[in-house]
Amino acid sequence: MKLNQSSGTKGSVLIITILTLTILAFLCATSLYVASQNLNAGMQTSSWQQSLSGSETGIDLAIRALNISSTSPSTAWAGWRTGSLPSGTSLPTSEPTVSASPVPTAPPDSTHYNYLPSTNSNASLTVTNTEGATSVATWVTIDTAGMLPSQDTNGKQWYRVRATGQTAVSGPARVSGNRLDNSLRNTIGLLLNRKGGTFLGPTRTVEVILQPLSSGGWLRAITLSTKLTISGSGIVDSFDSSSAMYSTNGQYDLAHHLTHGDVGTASSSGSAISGSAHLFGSLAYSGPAVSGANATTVSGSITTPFNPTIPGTLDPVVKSGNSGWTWSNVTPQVNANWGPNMTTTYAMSNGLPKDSNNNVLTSVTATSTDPTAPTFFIFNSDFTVSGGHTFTVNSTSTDPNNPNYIVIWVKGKFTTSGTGILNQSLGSHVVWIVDNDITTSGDSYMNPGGYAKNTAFVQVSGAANPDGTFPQSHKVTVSGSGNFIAQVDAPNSTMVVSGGGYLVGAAIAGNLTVSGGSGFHYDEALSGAVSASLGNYAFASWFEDNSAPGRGINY
Amino acid sequence: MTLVEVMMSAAAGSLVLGAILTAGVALQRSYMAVEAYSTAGGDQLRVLDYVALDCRRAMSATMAGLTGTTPQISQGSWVNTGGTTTTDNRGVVRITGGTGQWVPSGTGPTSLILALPSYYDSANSYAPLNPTLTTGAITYGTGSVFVIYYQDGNNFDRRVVIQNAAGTTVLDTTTPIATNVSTFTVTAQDLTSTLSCAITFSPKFTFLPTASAITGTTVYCNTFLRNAGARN
Repeated sequence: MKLNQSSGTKGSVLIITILTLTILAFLCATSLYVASQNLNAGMQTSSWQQSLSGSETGIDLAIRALNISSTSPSTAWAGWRTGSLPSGTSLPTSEPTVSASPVPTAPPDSTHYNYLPSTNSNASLTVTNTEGATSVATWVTIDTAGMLPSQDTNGKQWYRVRATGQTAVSGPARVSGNRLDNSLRNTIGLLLNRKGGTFLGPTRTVEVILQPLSSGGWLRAITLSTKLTISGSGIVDSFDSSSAMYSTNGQYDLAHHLTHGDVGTASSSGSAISGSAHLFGSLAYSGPAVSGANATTVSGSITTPFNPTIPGTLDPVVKSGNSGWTWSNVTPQVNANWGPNMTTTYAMSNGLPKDSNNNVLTSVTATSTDPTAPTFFIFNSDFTVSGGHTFTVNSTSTDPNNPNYIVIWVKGKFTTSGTGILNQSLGSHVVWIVDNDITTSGDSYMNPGGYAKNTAFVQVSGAANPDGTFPQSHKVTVSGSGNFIAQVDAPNSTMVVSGGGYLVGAAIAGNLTVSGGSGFHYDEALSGAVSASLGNYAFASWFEDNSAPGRGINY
Repeated sequence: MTLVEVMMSAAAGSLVLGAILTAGVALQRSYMAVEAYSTAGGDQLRVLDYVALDCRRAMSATMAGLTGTTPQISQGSWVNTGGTTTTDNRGVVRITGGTGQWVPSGTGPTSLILALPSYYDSANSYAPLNPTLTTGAITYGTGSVFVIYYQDGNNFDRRVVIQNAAGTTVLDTTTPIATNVSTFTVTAQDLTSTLSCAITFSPKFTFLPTASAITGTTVYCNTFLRNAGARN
């Protein structure tokens, strides 16, 4: 059979070609769509993360400025500007225009804010010829947010820092095809900018509240380099021996107590608060959370980090040519200077000093009224007041507010044991420099009616190593049911307070265990004896503002 | 043209068209698989971003019906009564009004419960509020804000509950932030410093569902709780 070949079938080649090209075009379009979506999603995510890095860098820049503001204001605020708060205590929500605003020389007061424009920020970066984000910009504001220094334990100003990181993406302003991504990363593109202004691109804003932490060791009840363990039913609180309102005759009184028994630990690993113990103050720490610390057991704030510089404690040193002795210590602040004939060294007999005639001494007397040239004795080995013995530190003064000063350097252990009693006269100011363990109690170290400012124990740790550790480590044991009134500066010690008695004063230690109903009554009068300089700032609050009010998106 | 020629050309044409059809279907299937893979990757990134975002800014708080404080992992669900519910075309459920509380249930989904500061002023277009410093603690507005993560069928939901100081629900929004989720596991042991959770996504396309086939993609989120209060 033969079929007629119609001339009408000649166009089939064209149709088939068009059909084939159409199919291929669809395939290409699908490929491009899939590739475009992948690219946009990847670009969104990376830009989103870069914006967060930008905003967090802004926070760090603000902390640095605050930290060095008092010592290097011109360096601290280089590139910053200051302006009046737009209304009340509200910060601007979009980047202020950089103008001839004055350059700040200090942190802002209650009516101003300091800001670091993105054009002046070292954190801002522009990159050309890149497939990814072409720039990351950061602008930062600092203000007081209506918070007052009087609301802080140490009378310091808290600050609100708000930092915004912005990333400019290359290519067309186009959002991902997934609307869920748009809700999360809602500033990625098109004409949206939920923070106002003209900037287009992912924008992330972080707001932190910075709590100032004072560096002085006596600005809080307890300063530790490592672990804190508090158990039993004891408390940590405060009073003020210099105030009739917050003490009774200069002594702790629960009815007049205060809630500034602050505690800080620079390395909190293993720390815990248990039993019915309670901190009437704030807790600052670095490291893992302190077990059991919560709103029920801590009355004040719980903040992190806590990175204090804890100075080492040193022995007195002989001046060149044996021309005398010097000794300085940061906490308590003592800068003593003895002439060549102003020191007396005693050998020890059964723990007590003996004179050149081998007579055992049962007392020494403070006579100096000059705190920089105190009476100075050296006990050449362990000092022990054992059961049945009494040792007395006398003074010519009877006024604790105008005392006679004495420094006693114990080149060994300091021990009061059993029924041994060490009496300190009311008009004496005693600094014990101890080279080894300290063992005492409130029942055996008697300074009734005295103040912690007049009794200091300094346990020698040696100068701090570059990594913050100390070469010497000793123990401090405070036991008994009586109150032990003193300052204890033992930066690398294992300190134990037990037996139901309280340490009335303040302490610096390596690690601390408080048990058996014991606790601390921090004497706030000690804070006036040291410079209340700022050490650093801790985050009291961290919040990322991811809202888009114009789109009904919050949280 | 002979019949043989027609048959042969028809056979050849069918063969070519069949090949094109098979190739097209395979390509489309491949494209869909690639897109599903891309979508799953997006879902995974989104879930990680959401959980990390909320964990970083979480604080500690108490929730009606929940024993203990947040952050917490609990089986059960948040139940709001008396409110008005609307659902949009994206599957986002919004409830306004009424009151709610956590209802523990041994058969309920494992949920991660976080509390956030009342940072926005719900009475003023959700503008940021100023902080208040009281006895060493920072607060923003009154009321409470809770974020609850849980698996609902194949969806992974993020529920944000905003209540005023009287406990009335201002806005209760449930948003499915990922699909094809097969499991949601939260590690509780690190709740005092970091929060660890794992979410497993089921693959939408599998070529040969053999015993050795990949059953899913698991993403892990380990986030440091930055607010000290959330860690205590």
